[in-house]
Amino acid sequence: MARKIEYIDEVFTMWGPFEKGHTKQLVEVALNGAYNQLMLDSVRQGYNDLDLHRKSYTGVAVTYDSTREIYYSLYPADIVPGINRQRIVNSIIGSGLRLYPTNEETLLLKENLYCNTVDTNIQYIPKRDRVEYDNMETMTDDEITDGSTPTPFTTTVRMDLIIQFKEYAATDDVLIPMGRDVDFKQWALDYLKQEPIIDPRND
Amino acid sequence: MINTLQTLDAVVNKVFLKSKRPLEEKTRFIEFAIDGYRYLNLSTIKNGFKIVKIAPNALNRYDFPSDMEEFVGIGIPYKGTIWPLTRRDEIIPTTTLVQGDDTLDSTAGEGVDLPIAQSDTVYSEGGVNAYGYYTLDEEHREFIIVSSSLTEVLLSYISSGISNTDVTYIPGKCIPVLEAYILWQDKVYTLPSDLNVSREYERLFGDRIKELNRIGAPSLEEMADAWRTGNALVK
Repeated sequence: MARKIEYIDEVFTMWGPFEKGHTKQLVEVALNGAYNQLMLDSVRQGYNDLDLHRKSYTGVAVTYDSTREIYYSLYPADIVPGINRQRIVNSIIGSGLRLYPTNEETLLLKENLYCNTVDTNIQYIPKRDRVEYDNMETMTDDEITDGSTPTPFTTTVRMDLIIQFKEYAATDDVLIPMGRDVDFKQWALDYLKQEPIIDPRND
Repeated sequence: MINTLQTLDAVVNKVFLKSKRPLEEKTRFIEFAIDGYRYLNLSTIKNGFKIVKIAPNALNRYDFPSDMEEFVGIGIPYKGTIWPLTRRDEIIPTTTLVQGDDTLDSTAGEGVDLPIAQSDTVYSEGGVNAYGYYTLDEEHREFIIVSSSLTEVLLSYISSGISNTDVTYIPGKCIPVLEAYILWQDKVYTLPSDLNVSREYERLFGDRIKELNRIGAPSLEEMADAWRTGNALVK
């Protein structure tokens, strides 16, 4: 484990003698790509200690989109795509609410099913730029039609996200899955040198 | 001591915890759990047996409860017990529209009181008749209750056992069966289905149903008691 700035300095040094165009910003971009790839690969290979890599954000606002009549939260930071579906949104402790992930297809299909009225959990759909919620409304459709103000079960949530490398502060510790440190730095170097990354699963 | 009652949601979570399935499938599993508990209620444990007071409307009708799976009977209170009314399917179920409203036209026999015999009259048909008759209009999902001198009667029915307004609690003895049902149905509906695994879960479900039946089997004393007292309102 090392701090973000240490990874950048190390790869910057490994990149070779200073040449025109070599900057630490480029190294950070390369490390960002390598980090995304590494996390996704680790999950594919069965690594499941993802909670170690999550950063917690409390008090993330739940907002109402009146055009689409849904509630949503913006991500507090850019996330690593593809591995953030599970357990990323939780209620603030004490509210007693439970949330779990779903997708658009399920929402469409369950509309008139028993589970739609029996299930009191809140479901969330992680999307590109935000997380959308279903079952977050405390009012019925009739009450809203009669003029009641839409009111969510909770106005803030907690998110535990695997965020991208670039989102860490310079002095933040960045955890890399055990034994993958060398890969991480090497892949960033490969990006910088524009050498193709060898897919370890097909090598 | 742990509480043996668990919510439907907790039972689904229990399956997820044990099977390590991705949480994204929870909606699907909740639907399986609802189907499973409904099936158990109707076929095995019959925990959904309910008795409610109902007040027929001006047309002598009362809508079937939305959770009614199986009708048992309609009765009236009599000295602290339920006295079942007699079902008469000859009762005319039609109504007559007058300016868009449903009404009862007595010339067409709609809503006409049936002959009532007093309970204390010698050679009368029977005491139950003094308090009316009923029939079921399955098409419109309504009970029709006629000649009742009471404004409220007692309806007995078997509910699905699943509530959409309150939390649904599952008795502890049903939880292993429900778990097996969820796992089995998951395999049945997953394509391409692994037939061997599916059959194994089906066998597990069958075994657990047998266990549940053993737990709920009546004692010798209960059977003797049922034999002696009759079964006017058997579930």
